[in-house]
Amino acid sequence: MNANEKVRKEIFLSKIFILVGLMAAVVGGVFNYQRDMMLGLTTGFFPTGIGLFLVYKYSLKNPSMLKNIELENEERNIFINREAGRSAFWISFLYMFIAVMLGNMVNIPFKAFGIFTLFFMPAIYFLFVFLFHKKY
Amino acid sequence: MENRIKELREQKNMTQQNLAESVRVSRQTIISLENGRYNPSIFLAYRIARIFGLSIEQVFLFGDEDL
Repeated sequence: MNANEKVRKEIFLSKIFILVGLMAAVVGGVFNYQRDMMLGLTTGFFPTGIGLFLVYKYSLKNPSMLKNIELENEERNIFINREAGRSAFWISFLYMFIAVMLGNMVNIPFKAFGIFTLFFMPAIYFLFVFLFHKKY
Repeated sequence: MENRIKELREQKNMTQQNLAESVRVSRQTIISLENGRYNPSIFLAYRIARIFGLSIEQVFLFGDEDL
């Protein structure tokens, strides 16, 4: 995938983020359905979408930025991301297995467990990305 | 798998950055290749070999354990 193609995909993704953020705002703000949760979704998705959209739009006009994006997609980085994903998957699998086993002995509140998991999984992934950048 | 990238690069008076730009990868990738920490794809190996005007086997040295 060349840099232009990657940028086009990221711009498309950013539009989806913006759309999800706006939809959550309408559902929560106008229809008053799950207002707090929708506000959370809007504050998460909308600024991220806008940020991604602006960065990638700007990169199309900036050759040095485009070059950086191309380098981010070079084969070693792709290899590292793939290996990190594979390792993170098995660690997360083990984590879920232990959690299910523990669930029989300890009462774990689902919401707290879910929130912790949402932070745990990407943290493990980025930890492996960092470690594999040192290793490879 | 061992390789002669560093030796060939120095013979050609190229910096890691020059070589990286010539084969469209980051300097970090060249460092990893030279240290033997990372094995390149066939496409990158070919691009590197072509820069030095050699074949892949002349740049990347396959041992019995690699085959």
